[in-house]
Amino acid sequence: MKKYIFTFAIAGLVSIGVSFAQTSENQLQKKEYKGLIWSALHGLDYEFKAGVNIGGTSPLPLPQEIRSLDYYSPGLAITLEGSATKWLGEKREWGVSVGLRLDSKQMTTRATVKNYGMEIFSDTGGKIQGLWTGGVKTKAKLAYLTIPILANYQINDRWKVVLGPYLSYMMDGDFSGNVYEGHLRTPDATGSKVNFAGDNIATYDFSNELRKFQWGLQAGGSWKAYKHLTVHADLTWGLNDIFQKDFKTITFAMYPIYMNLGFGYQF
Amino acid sequence: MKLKHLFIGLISLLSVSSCIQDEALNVEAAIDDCTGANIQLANIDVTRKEIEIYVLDGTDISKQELIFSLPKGASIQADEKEPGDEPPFYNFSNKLIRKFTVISEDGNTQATYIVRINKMELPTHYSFENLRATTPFHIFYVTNESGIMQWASGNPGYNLSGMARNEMEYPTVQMPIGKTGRCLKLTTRSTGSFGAPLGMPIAAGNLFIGSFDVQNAVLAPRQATKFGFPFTKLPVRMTGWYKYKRGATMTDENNNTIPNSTDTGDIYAVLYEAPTSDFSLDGDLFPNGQGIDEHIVSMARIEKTIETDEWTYFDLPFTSQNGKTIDKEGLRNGKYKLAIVFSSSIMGAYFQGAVGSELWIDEVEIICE
Repeated sequence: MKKYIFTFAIAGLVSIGVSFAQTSENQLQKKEYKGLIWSALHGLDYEFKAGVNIGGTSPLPLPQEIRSLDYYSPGLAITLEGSATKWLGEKREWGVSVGLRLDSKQMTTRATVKNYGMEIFSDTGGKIQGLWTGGVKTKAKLAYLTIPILANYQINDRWKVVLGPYLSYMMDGDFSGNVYEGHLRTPDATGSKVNFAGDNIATYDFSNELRKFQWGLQAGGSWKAYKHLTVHADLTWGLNDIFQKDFKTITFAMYPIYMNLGFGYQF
Repeated sequence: MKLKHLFIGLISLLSVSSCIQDEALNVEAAIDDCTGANIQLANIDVTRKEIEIYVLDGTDISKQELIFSLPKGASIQADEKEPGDEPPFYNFSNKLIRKFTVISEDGNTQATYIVRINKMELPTHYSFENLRATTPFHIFYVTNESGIMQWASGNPGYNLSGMARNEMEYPTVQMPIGKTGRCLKLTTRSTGSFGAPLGMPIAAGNLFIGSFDVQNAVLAPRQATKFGFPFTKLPVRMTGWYKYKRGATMTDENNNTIPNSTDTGDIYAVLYEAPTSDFSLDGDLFPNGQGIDEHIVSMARIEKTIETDEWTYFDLPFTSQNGKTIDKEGLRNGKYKLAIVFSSSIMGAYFQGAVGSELWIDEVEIICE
């Protein structure tokens, strides 16, 4: 169901973008231009942006349990955003923008850990817990609906920088993976050792423990390449743990930190 | 330009904060294995921190070698020193029970184990009346005037699946009403999402004389079940009572249905040559369910367990295997071991069986010459 909502939302945003583009060229051109001129006179800008998120969901700083990062892949995490900016004052140097972004944050990593606390729930609700030393593969695939509220500063005709908070609502989230090549000490540091090697893996899935609401800070800038085309780079830094408060298996908080790179169409 | 600086600043902040920290010292403190000269069997109960070591009668225990496998960086010491202790040799001649404490590399975790040296002969009558432990799963023991010995089972392995919510949901349990008194019940169970990716979708209930090495339960499950204990008498028959109910669907190690196949339980005892005291047969003693290990000299085995809810008597003769004869002198000197095994699915060691198969066992006896 969540996936459908996501798809519909994407389709909606795309069609808004497309209809903006189309209507500016058809018979209603005049009327639309009037609208845009009215907006421009009142210091309002509209922009439609597309980009990719590259980054990771990581504890900060990396805890002692993590001994090395062996593999990383950002995945293809596409973002789509529509935003409106209200410019202030005579010089229009400063402005405030509000956007609506379909945000996908992904990563796949392999790390080597030592005495990493873990808990795996079985089909019956029973659990296996203990300390893991060895390899951990993690796959995070998070889909958010994000509202960035940003202060804009126009440096010159081409350059603009932004900074401000964002609020995210998670529509769909997958945080899962497996452990491989190592040993589990269960149920605690004085428990039994269980070795894993070769094809032996134990899978985990913490998707149901993810927090719905996220917030953080966004900072970045954009460069106007042509009259309507902009390119942008924005860093989004999550400031609350992606997991719910009562989730204790991972002993440290994990934060989504992603760089968004893309281009936009400015009306 | 300004923008560039901002980005460089942010990116360097990100990379600095993601640095790998110095490695912490190890927190693990446990005894993972215990070996040594003349040890016939070592049973480690990790939950209760007890180690039972079995040696033959006549073994000099004033210099008993104990080689402990410990986690990386951990150290071990006897709580009270005895005269003549020279690790790894310890003097058990004054006290058969001694305490050893393991301390982790970081010094913050410690575990004290009770280590007991036993000189006992294997009993020959098994009634399944006594439990050494009831949580997290049942541990049976056998006893006679010479001491006590626990039965091993795959329960510690099943514990890893997290499937059992209480002790009665394990594959190997005691039931209150048997042929006489209490009895043993073995059930083939699903290992759920833990076992399936490991190629171990089921766990057959089993009970055997020997040990279960949980360290290798995932890596080499058949090698983790070590069967047998020294036996100095000549076994001729194995008798007892059983009930059997087979599970509905036979599945293989990939959890695929095996068509036109039905499950059966397994009841057997084998006498085998043990070239050294630490030698034991493992779960591969009948390779792929077809062959027979070359060390086996004599065996009593049920042909198949018929489906019945009435207690049914079995009387199985020991017959010579691999064309071998028993060396009576060697038998008296502890050169042979006897393995007694019960399983709710005959191919359970190869993860083939029907979930729900149940084998009930009571009043088993090894009749000797």
